[in-house]
Amino acid sequence: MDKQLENYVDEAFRAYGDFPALRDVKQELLSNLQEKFHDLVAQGTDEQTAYQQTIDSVGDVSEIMNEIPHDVPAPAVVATPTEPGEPKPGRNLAGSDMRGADLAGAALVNSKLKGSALMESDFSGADLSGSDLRGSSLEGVNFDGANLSGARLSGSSLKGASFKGSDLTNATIGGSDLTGACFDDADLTGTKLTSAAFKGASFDSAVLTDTDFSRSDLTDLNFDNQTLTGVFFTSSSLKNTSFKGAKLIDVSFRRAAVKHAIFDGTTMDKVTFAELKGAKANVDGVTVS
Amino acid sequence: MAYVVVMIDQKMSSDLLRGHTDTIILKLLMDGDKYGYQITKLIAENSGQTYELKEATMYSSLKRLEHDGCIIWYWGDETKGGRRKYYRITSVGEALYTTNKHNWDHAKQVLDQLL
Repeated sequence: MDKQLENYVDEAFRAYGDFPALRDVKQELLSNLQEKFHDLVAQGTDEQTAYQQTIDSVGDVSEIMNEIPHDVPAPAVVATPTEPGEPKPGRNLAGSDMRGADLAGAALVNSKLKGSALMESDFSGADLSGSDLRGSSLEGVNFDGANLSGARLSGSSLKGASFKGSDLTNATIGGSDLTGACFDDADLTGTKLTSAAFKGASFDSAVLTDTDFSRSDLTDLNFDNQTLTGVFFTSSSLKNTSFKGAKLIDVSFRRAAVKHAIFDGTTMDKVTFAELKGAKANVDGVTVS
Repeated sequence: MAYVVVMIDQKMSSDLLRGHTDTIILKLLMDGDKYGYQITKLIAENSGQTYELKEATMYSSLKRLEHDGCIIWYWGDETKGGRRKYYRITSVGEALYTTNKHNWDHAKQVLDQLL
């Protein structure tokens, strides 16, 4: 019966092709179904009925696919010459499995790497500007000194990834797992780091201008002695987040949880101060400039 | 009670419940990390077997919650059988649960008066 369930899952997803993010979902779904089937049999249900009940519990798999970035299988088209002035399309490597790959210094401008498995890969010094890395597995990846300006990395798992000294200007990294990620010396001008989890991440000497941390969990993070200009912390969680000795200019804390944020020796403009005070932050040690 | 449940239009009530899948899952994860089958099993048990959350509906919800930073996941360290992916709620997720629960309490109060 296990083999039959495996075939059933394969068949249900056949139309979507094969790429790492989908393989993970299929594997996870299959192990759930196997456990359900064995539970039912253990409770005395006969195998045929148990099998039927198990596959009935799957539902409509297109619901899952709506939430996973994937290329819709398209009929082959004749390549048209690129119009002058259009950005040059990059390599299409979407959905590939390149975990642990050495891509240091690689030229990957405007590349498609959506839904790829790139755990522990080395992209140090690579040019990934304008690339699409959404929904990829990027745990422990080395992006030190890489050019990621305008790159899209939303919905990716970036646990323990290192962005030391990288250029992330205007990149979007929304909804990602960035626990333990290192952004030391990175340029985060205009970077969208929204709805992300940052436990244990570090931002030493990073450029924080117009950076958007809206709806992110920044608990326990440290921005000591940094200059933050035009940064958004809208609706973010700032419990025990430290801004000791930092300089805040036009920083927005709208609807953020600031009650337990630390502002000892922080310098800030009048508007930022007024907003924090109104939100019941502890502003005793603040200097208004 | 059991007789009443049979009388309810199953399709209609499941559409109503489906809209709250994210919140139902967040609530379960508030009590501790869980893997996929555990979630569907607990929903069946906690609803007295009156509601079955389809696997596809659950995974679309988990993917969405992950994308929005409400949950994170990690591999379990099972020695036998398949590896299990465990889901953990983040503080973003806890905040969303509180908001959704508050909105539901309010909607319920209004609907109780209107229906």
